Amino acid sequence: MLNLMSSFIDKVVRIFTDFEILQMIATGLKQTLVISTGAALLGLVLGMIVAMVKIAPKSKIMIVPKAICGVYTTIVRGTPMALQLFIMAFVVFAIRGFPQIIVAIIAFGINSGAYVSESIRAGLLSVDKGQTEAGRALGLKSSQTLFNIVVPQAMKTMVPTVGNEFIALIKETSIVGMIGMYDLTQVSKILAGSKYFASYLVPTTVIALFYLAIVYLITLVIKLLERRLRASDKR
Amino acid sequence: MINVNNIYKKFGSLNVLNGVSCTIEKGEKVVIVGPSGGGKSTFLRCINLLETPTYGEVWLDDKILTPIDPYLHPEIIMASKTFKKMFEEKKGSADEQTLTQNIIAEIKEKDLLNERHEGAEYKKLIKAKYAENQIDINKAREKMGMVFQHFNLFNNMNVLDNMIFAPIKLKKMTKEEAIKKAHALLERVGLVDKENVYPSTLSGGQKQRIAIVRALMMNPEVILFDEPTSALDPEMVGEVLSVIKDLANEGMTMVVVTHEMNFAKEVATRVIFMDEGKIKEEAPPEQFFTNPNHPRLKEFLSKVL
Ligand SMILES: Nc1ncnc2c1ncn2[C@@H]1O[C@H](COP(=O)(O)OP(=O)(O)OP(=O)(O)O)[C@@H](O)[C@H]1O
Ligand SMILES: [Mg+2]
Repeated sequence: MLNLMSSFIDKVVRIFTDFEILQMIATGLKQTLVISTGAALLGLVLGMIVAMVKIAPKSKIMIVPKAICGVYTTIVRGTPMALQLFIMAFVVFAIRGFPQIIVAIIAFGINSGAYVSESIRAGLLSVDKGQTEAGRALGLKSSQTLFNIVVPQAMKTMVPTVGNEFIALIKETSIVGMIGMYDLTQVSKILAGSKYFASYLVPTTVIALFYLAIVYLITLVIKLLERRLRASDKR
Repeated sequence: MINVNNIYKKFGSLNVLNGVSCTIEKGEKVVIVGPSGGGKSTFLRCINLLETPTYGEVWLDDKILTPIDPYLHPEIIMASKTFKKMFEEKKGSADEQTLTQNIIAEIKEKDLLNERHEGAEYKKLIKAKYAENQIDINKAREKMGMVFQHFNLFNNMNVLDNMIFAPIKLKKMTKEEAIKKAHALLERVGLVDKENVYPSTLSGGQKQRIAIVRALMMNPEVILFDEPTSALDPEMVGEVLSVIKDLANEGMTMVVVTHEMNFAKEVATRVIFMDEGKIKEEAPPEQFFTNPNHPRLKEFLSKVL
């Protein structure tokens, strides 16, 4: 038992002291963070556009955009992420030499956008209609009312839910190994297969801690943001 | 100043307004009463186009806020293919003038116009009439303040910002001017000390007084009040009504939907009884309350007085 314990600790120490291993982790971590951040930004932009289209009043010019957005969210939310990634990598961008990182960012961004759009839409709808009416009745344009009155109030509902979408996204990127990319999760797999570790126990535990740390940091930022939003309008 | 011409409003299959016409002159204080669901709020919201009337026109100072309603313009009807066809068919059955009048009446009654098939002349007339008279709805709304039953103060702004945001954003005045005006108005309603607080910390009566001065910041020509005291605790009704009365005494034009009959008696220059989406009676307050004609109004008054 004691032996097992000390071997476990040895191996953990090895991970954090071996320069080569650290470099592998750094590469994987960077990949995970770049995909997540890129996809989060793309998802946020897509989500905002889709949410706007969905809450816009029904009119002739909006029929087609509304239909497109409806189909988009239905398909993305109704199919597995791994399959969406395959489609992007092996069908849409099946071009030799096309950077994989871009493929991943687009695939995860499109996926995230569908979920984020629902969060944003719910946030906008959570603001009382009377707020918009009061703005319009004063002569403000609908965009002025939306961005200065509705959006700031919707933030309170949106920040935590959109934040959760980002957390989910980071963890979801762990499947990029399936298209041959090298992210944090892949590092654990490679280490586990090496002669020295020869087991999943230590590498997966350590890599899990990395994910936990990232998620914890983001949670903290969301909490801080939420608190600031509350302070700015004491309700 | 405001001219509402034969407006109808349908929500799906529900007919909420059924042909309402009403002219409001500068300086008038029009009070609208009537049973719940009679269309009072919808009527008020059609005036500043928070609701778009299904048919009919709304005019403000000779500018049209709604699209042109062809049925209200004989010369447009006469330019339509439908009219021309009917005229050809019935030619000789009566003298030209009577025939024209009869056909116009029939077209109106049976709703025979079909935008898509009325020809170029008809379309051109409508377009020209609209181009000549239209006004940007946001510009029009600057001239019409509105006060809501549930106040609708902007929750993300403090009292001062609630007041100065729109006039600054819409370049009605500079920030300094807006702040100065806001202070004067806050003084007037006795809420200077509330300048920096958020709406959630105010009582209902305070919120409504701020909502009224927020509307006044835009220097409106008319203010529309939709049951401004209905959401208030009884002890706060007085403070809000007295602000509205002061405004009335200063000559502000206003349209007030309310259940406060004493307010109507005291302030109104004209009282309108609205029921089932129609104006069923319209009279100066003395006559309205002491000598009502319409049976529905008599019934209504016997319940509320
Ligand atoms: N946006 C809407 N969609 C569907 N129906 C509506 C809408 N707004 C109002 N109505 C309906 O129109 C009818 C008239 O409503 P309105 O609010 O104009 O009446 P009111 O005279 O103001 O009544 P109250 O005294 O209760 O305020 C009601 O039956 C109401 O349910
Ligand atoms: Mg009402």
